[in-house]
Amino acid sequence: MTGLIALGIILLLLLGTIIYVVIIYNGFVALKNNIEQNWSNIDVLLKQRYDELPKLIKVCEGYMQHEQKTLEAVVKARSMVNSAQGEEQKLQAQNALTDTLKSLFMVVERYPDLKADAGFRQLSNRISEIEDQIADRRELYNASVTIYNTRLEQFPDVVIARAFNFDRRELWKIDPAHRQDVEVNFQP
Amino acid sequence: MVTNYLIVEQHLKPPENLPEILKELTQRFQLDTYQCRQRLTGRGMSLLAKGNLEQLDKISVFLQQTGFTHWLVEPSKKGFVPLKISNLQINSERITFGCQKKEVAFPRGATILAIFAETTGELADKSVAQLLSSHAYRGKDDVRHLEQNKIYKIILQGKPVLDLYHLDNNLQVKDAVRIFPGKFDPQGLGDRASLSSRQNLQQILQLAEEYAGDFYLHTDFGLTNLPGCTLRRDNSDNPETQRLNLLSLARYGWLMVDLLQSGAINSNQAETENDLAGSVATAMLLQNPALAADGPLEEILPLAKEISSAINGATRDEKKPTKLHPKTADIDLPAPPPAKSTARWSNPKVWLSGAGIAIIVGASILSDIFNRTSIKALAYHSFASGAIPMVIAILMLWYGFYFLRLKRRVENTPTSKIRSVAMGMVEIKGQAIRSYALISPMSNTPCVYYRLTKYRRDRNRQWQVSSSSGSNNVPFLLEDETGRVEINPTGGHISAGSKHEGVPGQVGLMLSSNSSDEKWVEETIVDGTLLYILGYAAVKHTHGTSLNEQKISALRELKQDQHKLQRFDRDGDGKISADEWDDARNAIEAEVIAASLQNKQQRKRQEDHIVVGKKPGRPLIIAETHSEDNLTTRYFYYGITLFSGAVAATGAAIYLLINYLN
Repeated sequence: MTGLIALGIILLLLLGTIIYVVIIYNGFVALKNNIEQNWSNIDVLLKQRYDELPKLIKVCEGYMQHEQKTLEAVVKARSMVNSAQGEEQKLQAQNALTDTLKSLFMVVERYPDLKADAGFRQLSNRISEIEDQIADRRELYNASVTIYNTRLEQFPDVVIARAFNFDRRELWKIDPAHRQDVEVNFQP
Repeated sequence: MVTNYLIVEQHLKPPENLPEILKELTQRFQLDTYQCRQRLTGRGMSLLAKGNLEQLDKISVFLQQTGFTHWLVEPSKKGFVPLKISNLQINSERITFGCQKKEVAFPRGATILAIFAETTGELADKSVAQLLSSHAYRGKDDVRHLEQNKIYKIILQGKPVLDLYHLDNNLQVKDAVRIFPGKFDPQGLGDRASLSSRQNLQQILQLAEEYAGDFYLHTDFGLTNLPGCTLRRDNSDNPETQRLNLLSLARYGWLMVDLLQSGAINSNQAETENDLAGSVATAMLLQNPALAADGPLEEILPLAKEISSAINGATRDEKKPTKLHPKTADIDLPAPPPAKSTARWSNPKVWLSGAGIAIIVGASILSDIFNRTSIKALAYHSFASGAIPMVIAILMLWYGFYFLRLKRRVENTPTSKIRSVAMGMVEIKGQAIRSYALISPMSNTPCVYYRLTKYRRDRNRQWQVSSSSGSNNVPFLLEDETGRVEINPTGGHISAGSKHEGVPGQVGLMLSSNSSDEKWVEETIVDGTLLYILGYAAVKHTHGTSLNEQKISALRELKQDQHKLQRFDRDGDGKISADEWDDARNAIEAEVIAASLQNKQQRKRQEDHIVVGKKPGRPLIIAETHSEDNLTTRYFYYGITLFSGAVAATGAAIYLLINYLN
């Protein structure tokens, strides 16, 4: 009798294990798709920023007659984003665009009239808002990847991950130039 | 002898000196204290007393001193019941209603009194429900009545009737028509006509307001205590009841005309306050605070008197009730929608205990039908063969995996910042903020969510859930350091942190009495609490006013603003001809469209266009917890307990099965 009871419990545990494996497998699929979705959600914001730029450049052109180089750099970076192929190239183009925009906003400091322009203020606020949201979504993307990679290495998930060839994903990496210390010089 | 009526405009909140007023009314005028209290506080008008003019005059003088607006009226005999219309025609000069025997014209600029009423008692029921719910939320000192827009909505949803009275210059009734939805040909409405009979009725009401020089609207039929205007609510489908209610409605209409003719008697107190306001404003204008002091102004400065009287005149004009729209409560946060009292079956605890009772009751019924021995045998065999323990094991296994999946879902979802939430499943953390003036019914705490479960002792002195209600339908906001988003808790798993137990009717926190046969348990999420939320973010669907409604509203405003209206008076004759009115309509239409486009271009605040809530097949978890780990640990223990139970139940089932087979 004891043997039969043990057999029944083992069968139940086996059933439980199968369901558990299914749950883990489905969890990996969901995590993978979450990562893809979070990546695409960044793209949505990048596209919004891309669409806002022509309006910003148009407003700036009226005031910044002597800063054609800065404006051209923004235009060029924008077109690079458009023509970039592959993830790596796109990433570089987006980073370049972020840099040129930062330069543009720094140069704007020299143009009080432009800074006071309502259209410029609205557009620059909108772009800053999008930049903040992009940063948030990059963090979210990295959080998703970290959860996924952690699961890949945890037991018992690692068994399922290896059995079904779930691979590690890469985190969003910052441009090495941005890791350097910023030089602050208060000397006149 | 002629009977006169003294009708008062009730105060929404009882004035501070109400006890003294009631005492005076009882001692000096022999009025009943209880009735006076009922008739002086509330919403709309109420009959305070009736009798001879001399006696009522004395009460009127007293009421003037106490700040109650009132009317002394000798009711005229009802001339005729408004004629039922079957069609209508509109042109720029008049609205012509086609009735059975004659045509009735309401010319542009006429004085119109409209009675928009609900005739089944639905409005009265909703009003009582609102008062009870408001009383439960806020207590007796802060009772809120139905707002005007809700009254409109309830009338339209019920059985509406619209009576329009055309008054002459002496405010005597010239004509009156009665409009029932669906009982007239709406073609005369032109492009305003729609397939909805109620919409068409509403269009006529708007049309009357547009065409009227002076427009008075009453929507309180059935809510007020006025002589001869009772709405019968029992058996409202009975033709005789309907006939009597329509007669009451006609009496109500004629009484409103009488009130308009007699004019409201405003209080001395209000005038004194106005005079004081004028003096203070004058002093401010002349930059001489001394002028605001008590004393005859003309002695101080002749000019000041003129300015003061001008200001007082202006303020009196503002206060003059030219239109009798009912008042609405002025509060910072809107009142929450009424709590949904859920049936006992929607509560899982009730469901489980109910299932047990159902099995016992079912078994006892079956035992009567068949014989008791066979039922007992069935129960014995079900248990002895291990079938019942096996079913329990499967259920426990199922729920064990449910909690395991929930735990993994919480762990696998990264936390988003509110300003950058994307559409789809999101996990957010932040501080809960009320977007409605929600107060928990028992502990009287401002909260974003509450659930009130009422228990009653059964025959065995055990607590059984008798009913459950909550604020699942009341949205709130969640705020983190980056922004705010709206949360709709409907259908979610809500873990509230505060729990109070009390006795029925308890307000405030007290220990419950053990001797009571009923107890209440209130769970609340207090305003400002830190919350964890896992839910589905989606774009909020808002139902704004249509372009046509905006246009009508703008035209109404234009009509009231003579200065603006002059813009369209091309020939300068001081009147707006049909062509000029068409131009005005076109100009207003263009303005409304431009404003609407401009509005669409403006960015909306996050909380105005994104809502996190429940999507079918996805979980919505709202938990008052400082850490996500607390939640996942809780789910882990639930799961482990259920799995252990499942294993034990399986063992028992197999053991019983083997014994049974042997």
